[in-house]
Amino acid sequence: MQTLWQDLRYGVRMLAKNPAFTAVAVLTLALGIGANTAIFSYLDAWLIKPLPYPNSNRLVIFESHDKKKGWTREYLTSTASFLDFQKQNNSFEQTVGWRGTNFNLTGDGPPALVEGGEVSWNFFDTLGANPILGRTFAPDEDRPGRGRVAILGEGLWRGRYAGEPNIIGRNITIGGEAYTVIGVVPGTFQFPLMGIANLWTPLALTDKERADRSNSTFSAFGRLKAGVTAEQAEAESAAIFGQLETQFPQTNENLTLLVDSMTWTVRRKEGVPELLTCFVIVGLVLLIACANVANLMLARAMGRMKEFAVRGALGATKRRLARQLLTESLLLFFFGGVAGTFFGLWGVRLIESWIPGHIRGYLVNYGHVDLDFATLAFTLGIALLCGLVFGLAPAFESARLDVNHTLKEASSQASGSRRSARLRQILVSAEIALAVVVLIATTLLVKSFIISVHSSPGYNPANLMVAQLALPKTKYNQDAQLRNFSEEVLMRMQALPGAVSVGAASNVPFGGFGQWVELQAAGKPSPRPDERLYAHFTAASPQYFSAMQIKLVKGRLLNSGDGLGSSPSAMINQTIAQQMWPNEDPVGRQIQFGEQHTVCTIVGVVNDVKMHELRPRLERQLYVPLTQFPSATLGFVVRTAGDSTAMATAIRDAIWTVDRDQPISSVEPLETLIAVVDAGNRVVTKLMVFFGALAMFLGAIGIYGVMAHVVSQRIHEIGIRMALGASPAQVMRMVISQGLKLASIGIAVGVLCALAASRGLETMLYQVAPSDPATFLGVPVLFAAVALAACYIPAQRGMRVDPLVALRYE
Amino acid sequence: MVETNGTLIKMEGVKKVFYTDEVETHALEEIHLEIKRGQYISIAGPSGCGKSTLLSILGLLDSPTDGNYWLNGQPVAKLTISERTRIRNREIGFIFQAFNLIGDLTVYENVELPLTYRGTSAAERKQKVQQALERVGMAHRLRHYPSQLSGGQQQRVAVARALVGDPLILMADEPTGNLDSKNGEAVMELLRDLHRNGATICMVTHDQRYANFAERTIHLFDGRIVEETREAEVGA
Repeated sequence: MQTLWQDLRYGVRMLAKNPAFTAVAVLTLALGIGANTAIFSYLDAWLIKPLPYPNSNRLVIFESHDKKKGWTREYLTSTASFLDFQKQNNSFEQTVGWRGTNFNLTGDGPPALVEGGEVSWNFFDTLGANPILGRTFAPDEDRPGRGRVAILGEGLWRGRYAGEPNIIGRNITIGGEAYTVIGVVPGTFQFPLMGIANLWTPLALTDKERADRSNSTFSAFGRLKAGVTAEQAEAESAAIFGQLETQFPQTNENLTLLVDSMTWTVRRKEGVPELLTCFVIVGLVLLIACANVANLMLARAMGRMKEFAVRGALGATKRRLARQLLTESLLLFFFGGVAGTFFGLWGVRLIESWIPGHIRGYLVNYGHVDLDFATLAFTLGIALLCGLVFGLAPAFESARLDVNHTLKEASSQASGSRRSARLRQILVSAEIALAVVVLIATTLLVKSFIISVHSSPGYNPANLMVAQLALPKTKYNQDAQLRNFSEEVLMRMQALPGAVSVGAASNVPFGGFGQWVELQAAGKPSPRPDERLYAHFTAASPQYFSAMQIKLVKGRLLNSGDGLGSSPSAMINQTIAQQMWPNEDPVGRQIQFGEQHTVCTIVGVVNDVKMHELRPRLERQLYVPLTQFPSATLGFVVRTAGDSTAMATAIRDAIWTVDRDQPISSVEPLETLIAVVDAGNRVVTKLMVFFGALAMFLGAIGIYGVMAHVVSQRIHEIGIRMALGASPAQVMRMVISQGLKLASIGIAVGVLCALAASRGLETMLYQVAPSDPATFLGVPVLFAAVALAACYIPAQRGMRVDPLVALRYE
Repeated sequence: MVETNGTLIKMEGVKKVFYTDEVETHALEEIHLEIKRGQYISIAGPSGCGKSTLLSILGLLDSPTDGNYWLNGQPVAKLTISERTRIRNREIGFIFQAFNLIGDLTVYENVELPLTYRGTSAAERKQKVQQALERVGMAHRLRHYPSQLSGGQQQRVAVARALVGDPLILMADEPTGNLDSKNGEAVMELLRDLHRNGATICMVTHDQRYANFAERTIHLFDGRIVEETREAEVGA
């Protein structure tokens, strides 16, 4: 114990004696450990810790599955089938239906669109949420006509209602109808699958909905009975759905209900695959940092061989010498860990600030992460583990010390020094290889993101403002009212100074609304359940396409002639045209869609547009005239000649001139809507850029450190060479070529490793091959240039060697 | 330009002053020296008298603070570093007390080094290295590393390296300083043989026994030439 204390004291003294070495080593480690701490904090919060519900391991979500085609989707097969399952199963303590909804809230201030959900009565009880005021829903309150009750989130209660203590029993106006507030749930309660939610009403299914065996308009989750496994529940579900398949072959053929862990469903949505990729990358960055510090320690240990030889001559055992170096290493990594904790804390806050508000609701604890005991234990553990592993090399070298030889010989000539030099060269080559792997991986991901951002969305989002709103059914319950509202608003918007073209649609790209319909060619028999086609449905005004600058491919655009008195017409996108009428002209054909089996004549084909994500995917898109199919959800698009943001107030006024009580969910440039939707990818991309740059920086420091040490070790040799006639340029070439040789080995190994590793990124890449030639050529060239620059300073020092001084003349 | 007939080196009034902080150290004062082609000259004197400083200036590793220096008729006192480097490579061969062989290079590669810097072709290098090593009796150790040789053998390799470029003069700084007496004698015999075959040699030594191998000995004391003895006088 006493000797350990001595080692510690001496270690601290040695670190304090070499402040430059200590600072560089601690900073290098802090960067590597800090990056790991930050990413681990998120990994711990999102992947390791259980969801914040009692016995969350018993919570599962239901998914429909097609046994023949193999697909699994996160929605129910049909409402009626689910209700049958709910009655017949013995595996579940509770089953809960829910759907996310935007509520129009009026009164008590300006009209507002509040995010929330319609939920089964047992939603809160199943998730173990206790209200801070009032109660949760009663069993009969999710029956139609019975449930004019609402539960507020703490945020909404404190914000809109100023934390009114007597809120329970008060009536509030939702969608034009009065609801009684029965409870307030704490702000800490969260259901990440629903996103941000502040208002809940009962999911009151109508008899028609309950009898629907074709569709379902809600999702569901359940709590398994204690002792029942997910596999047992799934087996029971298979049996129940097998019977339903026999009873209702028309609608239930091949369909069954699967259960999936709620925890994993939430984690998938949180971007855990991307997080794990980040964790692997920061792990590599930490290895690079550790190799750097091991290199520094090795160089320092070699410079202290004389000291160790003297200690050895005075009786220190090899074990004791090795232990001393190991203690110093552990101390260094401990300090690196402490500094890394602060870097990690800063990193966590930085990442949190990058998470956009609209996706926070889908993240556990709204994306907020604290550095808790688990994270600190991880940081300290990783620091000490690395200190132990990477401190072994110098300790091992000191243990091999030949005391007699070292005392007699110059250290630069000692065989241990050559062995150490080889070890350092191996370390730096390995470090460069790791840095190349990191840089190639991050470049592939960043390139993929840049391509997806810059690929055409199928319209021109520049100078385009979008106003979105949902008309309340209570006030706008007639088609004529809906039609009049959109036409009047369009008329006023067209009159706005600066508006070049104006359009309206039931939903706009990257907006908050969307609708899907079943689709088939008219006159053909109904497809089997597993062969149904669905399309994204948009009711649009004739000017919508010109305002959006969506291109006509065939036929004609919708026009004012497609009005009330004329036969229903529709436009389809290229994907529908190619899938339903390959090698045929769809214009003039009839298409049938929706529950009413509405038949429309196709008048034109437009290009595909990106609706929900920047990475284009084949998506069927069906457009019908807004006049023929009026919609309560609306997105108005206003194209301007210049900057469109100045129009926001005028656009709001145009809407409120028509209906002063109408909440507007947003008035924003379309470019902002796109940027917000893609913010998650932006966070990952920013991290990738940072980690890639960090890896390159650490790699460059590594080469610099080794070459600087090599030059200092070779001063005498360079002196001899210069005495024999080597010119400064020849010395520079010699040093640089040695550095580049090390870099080349590292780059070559790194490229080979990256070729193997990049296969794992395939699913995260868009229009970039895992072996993208430009990346696999560009990164090595870039790294070679960085290596060249890193060698230049030591090479210059070599050039300036005075042979006379180097040869130690008097 | 000075008379080159027979004169290889000529120094007039060479001074060397070292400045350290506020201290001026006069290492050499008023050195007048002439060395003819084919001469074997030794520079002797006690430790710190300026022997090695003089040899450094003679070998163009350093430049004088004042005075003139002609090598093979060319003034070389005020050359640039690159010019000095070029002349050193082509016209001077060095033999050091500590051998100064490069540990990571083989015997062959060490001897080849001056020719490499000169840009000599590989074939010519091979031939010259072979010849130089044969002259010093080390041709059988081409692939050995310095650490695998004895001190005497290392110094013979160093001599071969000094000879390989056919220099005008060999500069030897205490060539026996790191050797035992037997190996020291052997190296001195080797230098005498080279001299007999026409080599011009300038050697620094503090050992009178080895100074006697030269035909001229210059005695330095406190940076000044205080005495010069010739072979006949030494022998007398």
